[in-house]
Amino acid sequence: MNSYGNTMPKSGSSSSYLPVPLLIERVARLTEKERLFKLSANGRAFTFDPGQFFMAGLPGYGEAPFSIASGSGKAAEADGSFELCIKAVGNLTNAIHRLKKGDTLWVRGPFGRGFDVNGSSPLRGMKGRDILFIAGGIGIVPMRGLIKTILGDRESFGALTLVYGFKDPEGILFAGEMEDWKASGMAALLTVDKPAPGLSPLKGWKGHVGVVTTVIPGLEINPSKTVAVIIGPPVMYRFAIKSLWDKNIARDDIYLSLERRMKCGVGKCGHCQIGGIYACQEGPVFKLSELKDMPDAL
Amino acid sequence: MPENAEKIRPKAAFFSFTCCEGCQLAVLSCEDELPDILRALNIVYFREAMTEKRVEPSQREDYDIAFVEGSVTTQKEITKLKHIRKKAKTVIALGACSSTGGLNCLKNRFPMDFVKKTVYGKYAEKYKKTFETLPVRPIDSIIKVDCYLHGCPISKTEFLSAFTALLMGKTPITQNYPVCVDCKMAGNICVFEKGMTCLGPVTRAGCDAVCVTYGCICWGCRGLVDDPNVSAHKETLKRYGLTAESMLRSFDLYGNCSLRKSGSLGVRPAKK
Amino acid sequence: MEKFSFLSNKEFRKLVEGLTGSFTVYGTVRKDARLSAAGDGFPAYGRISCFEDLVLGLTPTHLSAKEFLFPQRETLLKFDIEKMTHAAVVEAVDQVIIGLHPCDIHAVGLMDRVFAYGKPDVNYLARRAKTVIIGTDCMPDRFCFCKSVDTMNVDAGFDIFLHRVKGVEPPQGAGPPQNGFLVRTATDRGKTILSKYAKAKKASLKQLDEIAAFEKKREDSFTAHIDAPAGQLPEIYSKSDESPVWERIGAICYGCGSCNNVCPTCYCFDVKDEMKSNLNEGERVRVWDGCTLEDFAKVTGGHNFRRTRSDRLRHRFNRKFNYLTGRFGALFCVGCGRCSRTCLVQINISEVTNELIREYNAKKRQ
Repeated sequence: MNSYGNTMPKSGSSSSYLPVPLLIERVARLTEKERLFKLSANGRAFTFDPGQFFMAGLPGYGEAPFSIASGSGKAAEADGSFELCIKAVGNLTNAIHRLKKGDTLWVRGPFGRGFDVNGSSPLRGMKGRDILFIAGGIGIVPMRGLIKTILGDRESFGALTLVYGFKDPEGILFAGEMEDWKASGMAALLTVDKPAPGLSPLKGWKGHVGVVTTVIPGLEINPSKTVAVIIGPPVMYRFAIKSLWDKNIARDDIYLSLERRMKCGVGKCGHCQIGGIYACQEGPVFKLSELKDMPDAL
Repeated sequence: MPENAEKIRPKAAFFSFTCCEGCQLAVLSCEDELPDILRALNIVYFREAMTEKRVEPSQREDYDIAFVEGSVTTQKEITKLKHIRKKAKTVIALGACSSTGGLNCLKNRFPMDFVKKTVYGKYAEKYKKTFETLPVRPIDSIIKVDCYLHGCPISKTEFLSAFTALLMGKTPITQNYPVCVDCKMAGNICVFEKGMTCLGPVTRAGCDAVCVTYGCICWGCRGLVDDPNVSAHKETLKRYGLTAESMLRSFDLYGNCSLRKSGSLGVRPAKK
Repeated sequence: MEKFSFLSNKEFRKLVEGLTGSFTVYGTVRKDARLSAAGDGFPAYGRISCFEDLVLGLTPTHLSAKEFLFPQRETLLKFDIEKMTHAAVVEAVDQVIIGLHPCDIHAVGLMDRVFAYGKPDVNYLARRAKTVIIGTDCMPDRFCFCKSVDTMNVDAGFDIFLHRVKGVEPPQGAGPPQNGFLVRTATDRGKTILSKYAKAKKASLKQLDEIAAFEKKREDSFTAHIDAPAGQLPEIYSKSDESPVWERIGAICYGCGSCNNVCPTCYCFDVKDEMKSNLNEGERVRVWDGCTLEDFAKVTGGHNFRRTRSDRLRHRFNRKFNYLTGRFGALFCVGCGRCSRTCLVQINISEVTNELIREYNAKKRQ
C-alpha cells in the first residue's frame, strides 16, 4: 500500500499563512455582542461563494474563521468589498471589536466550499427549487450571504422561506434588512427562545416563542420541490434534521454549514477533520448525504 | 514615552499571603524583561522589590491588576484578600499556593490544634489569638479569580505571556493538557521507564516539564488538568509498585486542595 | 546486485565526520544510560556533533524524527505592531538525519504528502528539500508491527540506506575483522554525498548473503501482528464506530497526547501569536497539537465535538487506519509501535486493531 516513488517535494513560492491587511470601511453595531465589519478589497479581486469563510485576525491576537456575510453573484459589491459579522466572545473577537473605521484587519482566504448557488459543483440543484432557510443565532450570518445571493437572482428560485431564531429579542440580527428581504419575495418567521421582557427595546415581545425547530412542523412544505439549508449552533442540527425528515425531505436536499475549530484554513492543521473530510476544504457546507457514517459530524 | 504615560500605565500590585514568596522572586528574575515591564506597568505595591514604603491595600484607591501570591490561613488574610478584590479590576493568582493551596495544604491532614502545638509548643495555648490558624485554602475559595498562573514556582515564560496578554487586553491562557505533552516535547525519556513514578499524566502543563528534564519527577505542583483521569493514574501507580498510602501521599503533596477542587472532597471554589 | 556497495567502518566514520563538518546533523543517540535497565541508555534522536555521538540502534527511538522536519514550535510570521510590518518566515537549513528505520522513512513520505496536499506548505517543504535522509536496518521489539502494514522495506524516500555487516576480512588477512555497512542510495544527492565523503567498495557475495540472512531473521522476529491484510483495515475501522472497545480504552486513557507526540505521522498543529515583552514585536507560531487532548475539537462557545476520551481515541485510531487513506492513498500507521510503547496505561495499537478485526469478523459471520 505504501510506496512513494522518487518524488522529492518541491517548495512552493508563497506561505499559506501570510495574511492581507484590509481596511475597515465601516463598523456597524448590530447588538451588544455583534458587529458588522465592512472590509475594503484594496484593489484585490476576492471572489467567493456564500458559505465560504475567511481567516481573520490581528497581530498578537491570532486568527479565527469567520463566515462571509455578503452576497455574491449579482448581489456582490461592485468594488469587491465584503462584510464579516463578528461576535465578541474571546480575546481575538474582543480585540476586533475595539477596531474602528480606518483600522486594518488581517485576512486570509476565502477558504472552503460554500453554497454553489449558480455553479456546477455537486451542490448545484438549488436553482428552480423552493428553499427553506433555517438559521439559529449567529448562523444567520452565512445565511445572510446566501439569502442575498439568491434574492439577487430571485426569479431563478421557487418559494423562499426563512425560519430563524435567537435566544432573546436583544440578540436579533439584521431585523431591519429582514423587511427588505420580505419585500423582495421571501417569507420569514422569527422566533426567540425566551422573550426576556424588560431588557429589550422590543419590550413586550409579541412574536413566536420557542426554539427554531418548533416552527418547522407547522410549515407547508412540498418535499419533492424543497431544498433545506440549516446553519446554527451545534445543538440545533439534530433537531432540525429530525423535523425535516418528518416532512420527508431527502438527505440530498438538506444542506448544512458545520462549525469547527480551524487553525490553518488550508487543510493541514487537522482541527476541523470530521471523519475523512476537512471542514475547511470539503466544507464547511455539506449535503447531509455526504456526512453518512461520520460519528462526530453532528 | 508620552507625557501622560503615567496616567495610562495600568496600576499593578503584588501581594503576598502564606507562602515562601518564591513566585515574586520568579517575577524579579525576568531580568531582561523588567525594563519593559516597568515601562508598561505602574507598580504601586511590591514589597519584595521596593525599598520605599507604599500604601497598604486598605488605603489604596484601586488597582488595575493585582497579582496575589500565597494561600489563605488566617482570618486577617481573608479580610485583606476581600479588600484587594474590591479594589482590583483583575485578580491574578500567582503560583501554586494561591491557585491550588500548594504545599501548605499538607497542614490540612492534621487537626489545627495539633498543628499549632507542633509549631509553637506551649506558646500555642498562651498566645491563642496570635497563633490563630485556619485550614489552608486557595484564594479562589474566598474571592473570584480572573486568571491563574500555576506552578511552584510560576514559570517565567507563563508570567511574561500573561503580562503581554493583560497589557493587550487579552485573558491569559492556562494550558489544559497534562505535563506529558511538555515532557515529550522536551524529548525526555518517561520517568516510569526509568523506574520512577510521577504525577505528570494528570497534572496541568505549562512548565516545559523542567523537573523531569533536570532529572527529577513531576510532583504535580501545577494542580490537576480540568478533566484528569485520576482513577487510571491510581491503577498505573499501583502497577508500578506504589502502595495505596504512598500513592495518596504523592497526590497530597501539591494535590490536596486541587483534588478537593475537582469535587472529590466536596469543597468548591467560591462563585464570587 | 549492483545497488549495494560496501562501506567499511573507517569509511563510514569519514562519511559521518564529513557530514558533521558541512551540515547540521541529527541522528540516533543513547540517553540516560545510568537509568536504563540494560545500562546502555534509551534510543533517542539528538544532535550529532562528532562521530562518537552517533549510535545506530536496532530498536525504535521513543520520539520520531518528525521534529526535524516539522518542529514542535515553528515561526510562520514575524510582525511589529508599532511599525505596522509583517513578513512570512520560512526557516530551513541544510541538514542530515541519520538512523531512520524503514517505518520512519515511510512516515516521512506520508508527511510529505500531507504538507504538499492542496496549497503546499512552504515551511515544511523547504525544510524537507534541504534534508538528507540516511536510513538504517533494524530489528523489531515486541511493539513493532511494520510487517503487518507493509512498511517493513523501503526502496525510496531516503538518500542513503545502511545495512550492517560484520566479519569482513581485511585485504591482507591481517588485523581484526573490519565491520561496516552495505549501502544503497536512492537519490543523486545520496550518491554525491557518499562519493564526496567516503570511498565505497564493491559488495561481496558473502556480505549480500549476510544481509539477506539478517533480513530473514528480522522478518521472523515479529511478535506483534495485525490479523488482517493492511488493505482491509480502512473498511474494518469504518464499521467499528460502535465498538465497545472505544468505551473500554477511553476509560483508562489519560488524554495526555503522548501517542500523538511520539507518532511519526501525527501532524496536527495549533497556531498562536506570541508577543515579546516590548509589546510591539511578535511572532505567529505553530506548535504541535494532539487530537487526544481535551480541547482539540472545542469551539468558541464551549461545544466540544469530541468531548470524551473515547471519542478522541476513536478519532485518532481512525486517522491512522481509515480517515486519511482516501485522501493520501496509504495507511497512516507505519507500525513503529511508538504509541503503544509510550502509553502508560498500555493501550496497544496493534492489539486494539486486532480486537476490532475479531469483532468485525464475528459480525460478518452472523
